[in-house]
Amino acid sequence: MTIRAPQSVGDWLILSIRLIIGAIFVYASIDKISNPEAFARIIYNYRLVAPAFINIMAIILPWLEFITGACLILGIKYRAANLVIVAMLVVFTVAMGINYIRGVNINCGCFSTSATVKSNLLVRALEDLLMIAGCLLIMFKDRIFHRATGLSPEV
Amino acid sequence: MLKSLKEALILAILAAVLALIFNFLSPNGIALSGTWYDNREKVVLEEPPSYDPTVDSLLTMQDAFALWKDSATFIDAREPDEYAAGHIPGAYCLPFEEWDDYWDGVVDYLAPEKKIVCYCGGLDCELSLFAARELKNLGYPNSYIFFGGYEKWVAAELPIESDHDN
Repeated sequence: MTIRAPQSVGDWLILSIRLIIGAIFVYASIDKISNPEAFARIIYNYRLVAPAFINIMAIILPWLEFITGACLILGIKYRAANLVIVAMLVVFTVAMGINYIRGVNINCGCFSTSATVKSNLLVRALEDLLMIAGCLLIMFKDRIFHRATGLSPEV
Repeated sequence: MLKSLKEALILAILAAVLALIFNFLSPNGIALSGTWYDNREKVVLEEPPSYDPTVDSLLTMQDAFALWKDSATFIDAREPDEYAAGHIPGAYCLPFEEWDDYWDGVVDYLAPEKKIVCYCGGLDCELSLFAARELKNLGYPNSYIFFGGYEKWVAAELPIESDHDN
């Protein structure tokens, strides 16, 4: 792996987005990794997952968040990590959107596994959409920035 | 893109393996498959999301009404302004979020041997559940949850009172 210093405004922007989204994902995973039982209860509260998959999801999902977040921060396989993060964010947004429409007041399980904390699902879903936009910028950065500057995309 | 997809799959597998190993070793680890009730098709909640049958005692609308006629103590766990706008007649205002501020004004009306019915707003409100648990912890074992409380009460066209009535 070669570490290349950011050379343009676009590079700095992408690096900042990577660090912010990566940090959010790592931070969000910690409480869930240490409290899988509470997180399973939150997944159950979403009323979208078949009973057989609730626990396995509660075990694996936080680790997926942690590893992809860390990859994004460290720049290791970050394009792949970015893809996984976009997929997760889309699923989270849809799940929160459905429950917002249902009018159910639950903890989204975004950062905390406490069931007494209620989330504004609409705000959380909008935050996710913002992060999706950031991820798309990372995904298509070469086309966006290098086309604009006339530089050839990095390989 | 294809390369990234392959790597993404590898990352997912790596996360799954690490997660399973960690879960196996962690004292907080859980079973791979839990005993959950299939709630996907439930449009209307019949019980609070945090309901735990080993701890909580739920009341139906009929039970709650019977207890109200029987002069059980009713606790309104919603916000004071919601209480002021309208509540079940005779209920005491004990907002769960401001418990300590209101506790002294209510404690004299509670008795450990008497039945206490906690309620809050609607089917998305769990304050009644938390209030009943707190009361049980404080030495009032006959604390019940009237889930869906005020909304169900109003829908049944039962009497209400508000601070404007006084």
